[in-house]
This record gives sequence, C-alpha cells and structure tokens, in this order.
Amino acid sequence: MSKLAYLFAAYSAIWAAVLIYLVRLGMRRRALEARVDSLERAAGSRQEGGM
Amino acid sequence: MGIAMKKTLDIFFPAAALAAVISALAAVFLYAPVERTMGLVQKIFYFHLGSAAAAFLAFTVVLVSSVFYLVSRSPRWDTVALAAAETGVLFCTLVLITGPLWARPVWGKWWVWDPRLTTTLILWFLYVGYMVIREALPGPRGALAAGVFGILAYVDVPIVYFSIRWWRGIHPVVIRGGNVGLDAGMIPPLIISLAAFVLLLAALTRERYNIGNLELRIQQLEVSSKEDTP
Amino acid sequence: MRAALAITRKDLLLEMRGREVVVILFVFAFLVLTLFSLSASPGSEALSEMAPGILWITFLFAGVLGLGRNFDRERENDCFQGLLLAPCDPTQIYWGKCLSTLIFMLVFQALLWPLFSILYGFSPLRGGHIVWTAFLLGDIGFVALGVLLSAIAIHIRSREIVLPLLLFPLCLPVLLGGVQCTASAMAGGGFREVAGWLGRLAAFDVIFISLGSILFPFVVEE
Repeated sequence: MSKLAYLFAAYSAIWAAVLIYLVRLGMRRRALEARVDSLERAAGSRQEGGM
Repeated sequence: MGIAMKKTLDIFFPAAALAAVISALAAVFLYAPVERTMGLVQKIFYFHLGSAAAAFLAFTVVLVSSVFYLVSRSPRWDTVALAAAETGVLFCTLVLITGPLWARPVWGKWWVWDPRLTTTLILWFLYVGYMVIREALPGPRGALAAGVFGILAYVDVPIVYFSIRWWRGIHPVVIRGGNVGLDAGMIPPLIISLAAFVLLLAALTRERYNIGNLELRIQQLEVSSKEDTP
Repeated sequence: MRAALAITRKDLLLEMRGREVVVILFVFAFLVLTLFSLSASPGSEALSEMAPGILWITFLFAGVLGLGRNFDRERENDCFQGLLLAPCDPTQIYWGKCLSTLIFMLVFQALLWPLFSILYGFSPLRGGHIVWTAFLLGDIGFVALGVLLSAIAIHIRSREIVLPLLLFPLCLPVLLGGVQCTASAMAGGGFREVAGWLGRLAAFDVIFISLGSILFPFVVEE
C-alpha cells in the first residue's frame, strides 16, 4: 500500500465516522421530536376535554 | 438559559465547528510543510492528536458531570455525562483507528505495546463499559451506577498509564520511533486542528445532550399522561 | 466495624456450608492451568516466562466467578435488599463483603499455589513470604474494585459477562503489579527487588479501597 493510501484511509475513517454519527443523531432527534409533539397534543386535548 | 440563547448556541456550535474543520484541513494540506522522512503520512498526526484531545476532554467532562450528578442529583448533569461519554468513545475509536494507520508506514508495525497506546486501548475498554452500563440499566439506578463508574474509570486511567510505564521500564523498549520533532511550520496547523476537534466535540456533544433532554421530556409526558387517565 | 464483621462471618459460613463452590472453582482453575501449559509448544522456555501471568489471569477468572457467586446468593430471595435495610452504614456492608471475598481468594490461592508449582516445575516454597505478600496486596485491590462493581452488576441481566468487562480493565494495574512481584520472587529475587512494586500495589489498594468506600453508598441507594 502506498503511503498516500494510509493518509486517505485515516482521513476517510474520521469523516465517515463523524458523518454517520451526525446522521444517526439527526434521525433520532426527529423521531423523538415527533413523539414529544404527539404526546403534547394528546395532553392538550385531554385538558380541553376536562374543562 | 432563554430559548433565544439556546437557539443561537444550537447554530453557533455546528457553524464554528464546520468553519474550524475547513480551516484545519486547509492548514494541514496547504500550509504545513511535508515531513522529510515520513512524508505525507505525517499529516495523519494532526487529526490523530485532535481526536485524542477531544476524547480526553470528553472523558474529563464525564468525570465532572458525574461528580455533579452524584452531589446534586439533577438529571441535567446525568444527560451531560451520557452525551460526553458517547462522543468520547467516538473520538477514542478514531484515535485507535488513525494511530495504526500512521504507525504502519512509519514504524512498520500496526501496533506496539507502548504505555501511551496501551493506555488508550484500556481507556476505550473502560468507556465502552460505561456505555454498557447505560444500556443495561435505564433510569435513576443506571444514572447512579454510571456516575460511580465514570469517576472510577477516570481515576484509573493515570494509574494504568504509570503501571504500564513501570512495567515496561524493566524490559528494554524495542521500538523507539515517532519522535515527533515538530517543525515550526507544523505548529499553527496543529493548534488549528486541536481547536477544530474541540469545537467538533462541543457541537456533537451538545446535539447528543439535546436528544437526552428530549428523552427526559418524553418520560415526563408519559408519566403525566398515565396520571391523567384513570 | 461490628456490622462489617458480621457480614463477613455470614458469607464465610455460607461458603463453608456450600463448599462445592470452592472445590468447583479449584478444579476449574486447575483446568485453566493445564490448558495454558498444553497450549505452549513442548519444551519451550516461553511457558516458564509466562507462568506468573498465567497464574494471575487464573486468579482473575476465579475471582470474578467467586464474586458472581457471592452476589448471586444475595439476589436469591432479595437478600441484598434485606441487608441494605439493616440499620448500619452501607460502607460497613462494603467492607464486610470485601473481607469475606479477600479470605475466599486467599484460601483459593493457598490451594492453587502448590498445584501450580508442581505443574510448572518449581518448589512451592520458592519465593516464600514475598509471593504471599504480593497475593495479599493484589487481592485487596482486586476485591475493592470487584465488590463495588458486583453491586452495580447485580441489577444487570447479563451480569456474568458485564462484570468481567467492567472489572478487568480497571484492575489491570493490580494484575501488572502482582505478576511482576510473583515473577521476581519465583526467579529468587529478594524483598529489595520487589519493594517498589509492593509499595505501588499498597498504594493502589489505598486508592481503590477509599474510592470504593466513598462510592459504594451511591451504588446501593434505592
């Protein structure tokens, strides 16, 4: 393997790992935000029904 | 902290991290001189060291927030500890990947049992163990256990380092390479890379922290919705 | 301190009644030593060089199994909850557990050492008190960490796997110190040669016992 290949491998490993982590965080965040929204809406409608 | 302030920080950290990473790349590839014996491979060193600095900083954050959590019992501190542990493991993994990729062409070996390398590997094992506790024990019990382990692991790391050094001191060290004689031109790119990785760590940890807070919020909402419905 | 001793006494009584655990562990350790010596190529010098390391790794395996057994007994019928309800400082429970596990380890080592010396070809009297000082100091550090982590692992479903995963990296310094002292003693070295490592082991013990005493109450909190 040429020396350049090691350099390339090291830098792509870093960016691949960071990007994959970012994408996973984003997906998780979106799913959680949707869940919070639905729970809050449910709580809101319960309050209205109670009044 | 006001909502406006929070929103600003949510934008500031990723933007600063992105800008810093781009300038670090530019400094490493356009400004830094090519090392005479190691050649271009030496450029791995900047980001390798950056990841190492980020990992150690993250684990220090885990220690501090674990102590604060055990004392104050505020779930916020626990969320910070969890976020920093996860990003710390990420950067520690990157250190362990880029290290051998640098060592192989320079030393001719992927791995050497030198104190620094061995300690980094043990560090990785310790914080993977921390994440295992977090996965296996949800709720306040897991938070307490993880807080205890976060303190224990951090205190253990210097002990591990020195015991390996004393241990190796008995035998002659076989490979003594990688004396990184830093050229003056290499110092600015190194500093920029370190700053870039610290900012990257801050941005990722903050994002992970926000997710942890969302999870806390969901728990609260679920508890209150159970209380409402008879 | 009396509560701690009462817990130690209770554990040792249970251990005496169910002697089979020590016996099974002893046979298991015998098997590990046998497998290690068979895995080296015949007549090679490597085995005698590796012997102290093999011995200490066997101690770690046996120790983690013994700890798992000790805390499994507490899990049955929620004994541990009862223990925690007792009107005493949780630190006392920690010390009691540490002491009983320490005695367990020393008894186990007293059984294993003669067998080890026969299998690996040297006199069991070799090294004498240095070896036993190293065992004692190494065990204290191992037990201090082991009891603390067992109290964490007790609530984890796959604790048999998680406990060694958490414990082994943490007690690496103890392992290195123990191996170093044992190797030096087996090579006929005197106290002066191992004094440095014995001192370090004692320092590790102080650090780990203090950390354990401070942190244990948090682990068992409800």
